[in-house]
Amino acid sequence: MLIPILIFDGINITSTLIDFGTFTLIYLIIALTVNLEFGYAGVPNFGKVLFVAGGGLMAGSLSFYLMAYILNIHSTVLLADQFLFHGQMSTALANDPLLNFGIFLFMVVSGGLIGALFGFLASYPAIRLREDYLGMLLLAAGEFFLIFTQSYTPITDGTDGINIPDVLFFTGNQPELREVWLLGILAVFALGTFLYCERVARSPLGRTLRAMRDNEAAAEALGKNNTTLRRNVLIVGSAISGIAGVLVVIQAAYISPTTFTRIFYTFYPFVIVILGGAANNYGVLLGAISFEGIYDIITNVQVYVGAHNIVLPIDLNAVTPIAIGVLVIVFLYWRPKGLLSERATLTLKKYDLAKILQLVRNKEGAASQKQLQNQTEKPSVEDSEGSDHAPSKAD
Amino acid sequence: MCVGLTVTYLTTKVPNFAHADFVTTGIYASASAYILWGLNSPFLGTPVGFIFGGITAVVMYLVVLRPLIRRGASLVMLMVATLAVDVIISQGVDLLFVEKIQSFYGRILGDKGYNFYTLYQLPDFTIYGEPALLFIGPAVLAGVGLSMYLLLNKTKFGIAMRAAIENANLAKTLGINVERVYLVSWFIAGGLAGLAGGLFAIAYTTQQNEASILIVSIFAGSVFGGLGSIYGAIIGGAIIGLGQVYITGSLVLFVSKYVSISAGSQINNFQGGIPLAIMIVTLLILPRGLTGMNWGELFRRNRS
Repeated sequence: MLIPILIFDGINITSTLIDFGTFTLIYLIIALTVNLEFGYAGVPNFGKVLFVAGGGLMAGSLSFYLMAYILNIHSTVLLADQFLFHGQMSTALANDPLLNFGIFLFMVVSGGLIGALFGFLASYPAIRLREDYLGMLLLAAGEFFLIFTQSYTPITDGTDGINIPDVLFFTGNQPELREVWLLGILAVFALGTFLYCERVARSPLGRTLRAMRDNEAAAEALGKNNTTLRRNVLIVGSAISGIAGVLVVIQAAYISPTTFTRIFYTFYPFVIVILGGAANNYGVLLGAISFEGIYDIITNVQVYVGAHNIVLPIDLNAVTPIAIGVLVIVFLYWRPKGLLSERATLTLKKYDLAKILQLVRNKEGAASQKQLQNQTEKPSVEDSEGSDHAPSKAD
Repeated sequence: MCVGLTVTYLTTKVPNFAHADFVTTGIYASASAYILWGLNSPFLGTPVGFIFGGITAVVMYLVVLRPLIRRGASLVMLMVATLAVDVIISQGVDLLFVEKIQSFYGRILGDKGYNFYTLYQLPDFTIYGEPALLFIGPAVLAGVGLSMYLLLNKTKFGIAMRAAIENANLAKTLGINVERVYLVSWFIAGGLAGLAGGLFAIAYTTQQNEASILIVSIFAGSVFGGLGSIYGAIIGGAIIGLGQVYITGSLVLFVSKYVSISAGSQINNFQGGIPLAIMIVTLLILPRGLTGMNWGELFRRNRS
């Protein structure tokens, strides 16, 4: 397979587009889980990075040890000599496409399970708390996990990181082909997540979640178990986040706690949800695309500047997060509901609903005409008065 | 630090994720004052940290939070906003300090051994052979506690402040300028964080991402002491700080004695786990913190 490489004025357009697609899809998956937890269920998970990094780092680390086990590498200095072993692993993977798939499957499954486990553990104190305490606790837990992995060497060799087996190694020496394969895998996962979230949103479960978000006491009065619901949402969201973490790790074929930061995997997904619109999966899709678009434009300006040796007075690396931070505050101020706001979910198809509405209207119309004929000279004063007063009271 | 967080929480009811960044601001402001003005001791730079921390906090409140609160943003929206401010400040520090200021300092000072990427521990003088911080730190804490007590209970402004915190609407009808009260509270909050930052720079080698590590301890201290009380925050902060140092210290001794020395030396890396553990336990057992508990009620119940 041949992929055309377009280079325009120092900017590699092909790789930019591939990058754009890759990160849009990764962020889409994570942001969809944020939307599921925060948008629908009202559980603000400010420790998202804990679950993404947990899934990614642990599964990546496990895959490294698994490969070492498969290849019968018994070494006390496994991590110190990782480059040597990484070479052996790469040859083994290049010779056996099935092994690639096996390791891939293993990583995804273990990432999901680890994410779910972390979600379960975090949910124990978390679901009993109010939003603000919950946010603080999860944020602190996420920070601690990152500090922990930086210091505890067996997982990722501290901040040095591990080159984990590259499950896309069968693509050989073509980096572009590898990226396209990756894009395909990501698209499958993103589509799956999107369909799942959309299905949940339209199901009775989705309505229950929104009811819990909007009025906890009322939902409980109607027999909904809020604690269990919250826990389940947190577990499912964390499991998907864990898988997203695995995909991040697969993309880089390298794990290090420095890859996962609070800005990238807690703040940006929230930015996407705020930009796109909470409790609206299409909004999140739009948010992910526009966020990554903005991000890539700034990055490419940087590349352009670098290519043309223009000296700017400021460091653009730090400008990106600042610009995005300002953007989100502006959005919170001017458009808190995001680009696409929450819609009433329709349980039936639009067409069917329209038909029913038409029928009802016809009936009503017929009935009111009859009424009018019966009481010809009595305009309904009460009705018009009532409808005039209602909105002012609500204000 | 914890006092400040509690004050801001009390006034705006938002856990301020950017609070640790006020500390960073304080660290850099006081260190800059010390280095640029050639002060005798870095302790003299800490008031500058106080002022800069306070200004940062007031700006944040005026520019970001107040407009959002006026528009009726939800709690989670405000939390996201504080997260955004956290990102902006921490990256802003990156932007300002890493290259520009460093080269600026380099030009002015020549090489005095101060590198702003990792700000080395500033020199401390000694009292009776012990580092002075050992005495000044608790003294500052006591001073802060005392002055907060005096401010809140003995001055007219403090009473107005408490009234505004308790019930903003009622305070407004009584002619208290609630906005001004909030502004001053935010200034004090940010200022105390900045002051703590100034002291922190003397105690440890700091980096510009210090905030993300500190935030765990700050939240833990505030929650442990009880988010509803300023004195609770003082107690909580002191206990968390001491606990972090002493519990890890004793664990290191214990493990290296009974397990192995290498395992013992590893433990130091997990200091951050202790505040987190304390926070989780607090939230599960005493969700309102130490001072939120009704101790008198508890004793009475036990006696009967």
